[in-house]
Amino acid sequence: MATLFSTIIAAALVNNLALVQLLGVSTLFSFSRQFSATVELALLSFLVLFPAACINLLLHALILQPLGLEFLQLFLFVSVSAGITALLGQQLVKLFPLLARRHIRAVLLMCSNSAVIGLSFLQSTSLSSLPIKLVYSFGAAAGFAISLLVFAALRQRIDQGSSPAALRGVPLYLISAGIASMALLGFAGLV
Amino acid sequence: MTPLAENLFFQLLVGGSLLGSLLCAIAWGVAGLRKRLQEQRFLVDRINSILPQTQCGRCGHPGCRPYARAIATGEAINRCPPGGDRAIRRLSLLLNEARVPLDPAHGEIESAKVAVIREAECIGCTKCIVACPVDAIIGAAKHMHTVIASECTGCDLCIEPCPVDCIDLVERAPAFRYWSLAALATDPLSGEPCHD
Repeated sequence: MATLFSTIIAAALVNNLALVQLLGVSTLFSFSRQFSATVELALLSFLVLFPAACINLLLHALILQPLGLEFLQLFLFVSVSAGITALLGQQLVKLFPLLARRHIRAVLLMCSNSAVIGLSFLQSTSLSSLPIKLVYSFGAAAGFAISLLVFAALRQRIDQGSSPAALRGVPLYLISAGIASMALLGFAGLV
Repeated sequence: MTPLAENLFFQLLVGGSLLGSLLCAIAWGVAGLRKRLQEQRFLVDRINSILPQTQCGRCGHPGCRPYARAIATGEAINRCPPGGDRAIRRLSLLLNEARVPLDPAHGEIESAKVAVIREAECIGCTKCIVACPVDAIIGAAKHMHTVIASECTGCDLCIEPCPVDCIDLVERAPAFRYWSLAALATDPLSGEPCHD
């Protein structure tokens, strides 16, 4: 139990995908008109990241490794994550038209997002056992969603505050992303 | 004296409260989810309710609802001149898009207009009645027509078919929202002072 908990903490905070490993940073800067839209995007990114990472992990451990086909892993990871995003996009259009209208582009861009592929690669090279890897990918996906939320809230504060005209907008977003990433480095050694 | 943790009543109390709060949380989540699901339905209706219902066709669609349907499947939100900046702002909030200025290819923002028939010149041809998308013109063949000002959307579709050019678009006086002596003294439709 303690191992599971510490694995989740390690994946979500210490090795946070977006802010510490710098994978899928583009999603951090994705446009949102309101904070509630970012909440939806964070949920959707979790729904892409977690299943894609799990399926990639299982396919890698159960098919590629026994057959010695590890050179195919990039092809496999990309096609699995593209398939999952396409499936999610289809279901969104069918069941949640408003969500689909708001986020379909961001969701489709997520299919070859470096967060999905990078998480799968990190998992395939790590030496821990399969259940621990599954828990790790849950923690990493949750941490990615949380960092999206935190960064959207940060951006909202930045937009509302008064800032120098030269830095307003994207420059300040980039600087604050760097500072947030340094702040998360403070979690190093926590687990 | 048994420890508190082994007391049956204490266990029941703690277990019951935990179970109750869990059930409450689940019920709350389900209620929230149902509300969100209901919001998800009828996306076209929600977009249509933001559009101004002038049915003028300046967006390139035959009416407001067809444009709402097109927006729901991904068309740009800045093609409605009668809706103006207000409609674009509300659509951008609903659909999480950037707030863009109106597309000049589809017309410019104008103040609200209303059509007025110069009744002395009307020959009763009924062509404007056919053209009106909101049935705001009344009259019959070879009888004088007139515009129901409260129904008219100012879409200018009746101007072109009129064979004697007796229809004008005039500025609509702003509707008064609060009672005031100045408002009581003016005609709400034409904005001119009432004399009788």
